Amino acid sequence: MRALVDWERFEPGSLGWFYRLLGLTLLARIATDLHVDLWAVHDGRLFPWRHLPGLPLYPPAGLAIEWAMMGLAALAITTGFRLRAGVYLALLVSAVSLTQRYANHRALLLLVLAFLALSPVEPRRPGLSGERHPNLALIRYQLVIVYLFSALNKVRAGFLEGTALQHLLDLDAEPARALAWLVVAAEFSLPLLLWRLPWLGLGGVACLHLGFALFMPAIWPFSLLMLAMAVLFVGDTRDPGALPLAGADAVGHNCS
Amino acid sequence: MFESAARVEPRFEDARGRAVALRDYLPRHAYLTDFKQVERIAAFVCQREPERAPFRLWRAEGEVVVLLPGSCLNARPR
Repeated sequence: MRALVDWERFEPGSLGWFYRLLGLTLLARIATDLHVDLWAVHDGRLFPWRHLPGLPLYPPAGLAIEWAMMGLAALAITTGFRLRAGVYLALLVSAVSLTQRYANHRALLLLVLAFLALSPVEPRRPGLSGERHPNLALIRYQLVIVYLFSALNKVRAGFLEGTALQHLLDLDAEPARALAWLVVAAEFSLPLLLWRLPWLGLGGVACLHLGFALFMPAIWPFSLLMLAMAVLFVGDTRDPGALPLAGADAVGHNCS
Repeated sequence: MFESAARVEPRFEDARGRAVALRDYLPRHAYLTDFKQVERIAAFVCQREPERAPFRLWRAEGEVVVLLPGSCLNARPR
C-alpha cells in the first residue's frame, strides 16, 4: 500500500507545469473569445450571450483592454517573470470579465486564481517539496468537488439517458447513451485515480477533456484548466511523517 | 455543464413571413437550450431590426408571440 498522500505538499516539477498550463488557459481564453466573435457582442451586433442582467456591458475598447491584460498575465504566469503580479492581474481581469459573461468554467478559473493569489508560490524556490501550501491544496480539493458534483448533477438530471448529448452533439440514441455513461463513470473515478495513481489519472483527465474540447471547441480553456489542476496531483507528495502501511516499506517495496 | 439540454428549434419569422435564424445573432458555439433564452434573443433581434417587425415567435407550446416594433420587450401572446 502507498503511504498517506499529503495534500498540502507539491513537487516543483508539477507546480511548474501547473503554471505553464494555467498561462496557456488564459491564452486559450483570449483565442476562444476571438473565435466565437465576442467582439460583435460588445459592439451590439450579437446578442449579449450569458451577460449578467443589471451590469453594464462595456464597449469593444473595454474588451480589448481585458484581452491585453489577460495576455500580460498569461505571459507572466507562463514564464515565471513577475509571477505574483501576473496572478493578481489574472484574478482581477477574470473577476471583471465574469461581469460581462457568466459561465461555470469562467467562475472555476476565478476560484483557482483566488486560491493561488492567497500565496503565489515560485516553483523554483529551494526546499519547495518540504513545505506545506494549503492554498494550493484548495485547488486539488476543488478538482475533486468539480468532478463529483458534476457527476452527481448529471445523474440527478437524467444525463445518463443520453438525450442531452443526442441534442448537443447530434448523435444517435445508443452512442449518446454509451458516451453519457462513460463521461459520468470517468467523472466519478478520476479523483480517486488522481489520488492513488496520479499518472493514470492525469491520462484520464487529458483524454476526457480532449474529448470535450473536440466536440465543443468553446470549452478549450476549461479543458486546459482541468488539466492544469490535475497536474498538481503528480509527483511524490507522501507525508514523510506518515506510518508505512501494510509493511510495504519493511520489505523495501515502493508501490506508489 | 450540459446536464440536461432540451432540443430547441425555434420558429421565428419577420413581418414578411421570412424565417429568421436566431443562431445568426449568437456568438459561435453558443447552444440554445431553453425557450426563455429564445424569447430574449427574439426581443434583441426585434430591437435591432425594427424595420422587419412585427416578428412572430412560436413558443414550445405552439403559442405564437408577436413582437411589435418599438415595444419589442413587451411582446404579447396571441
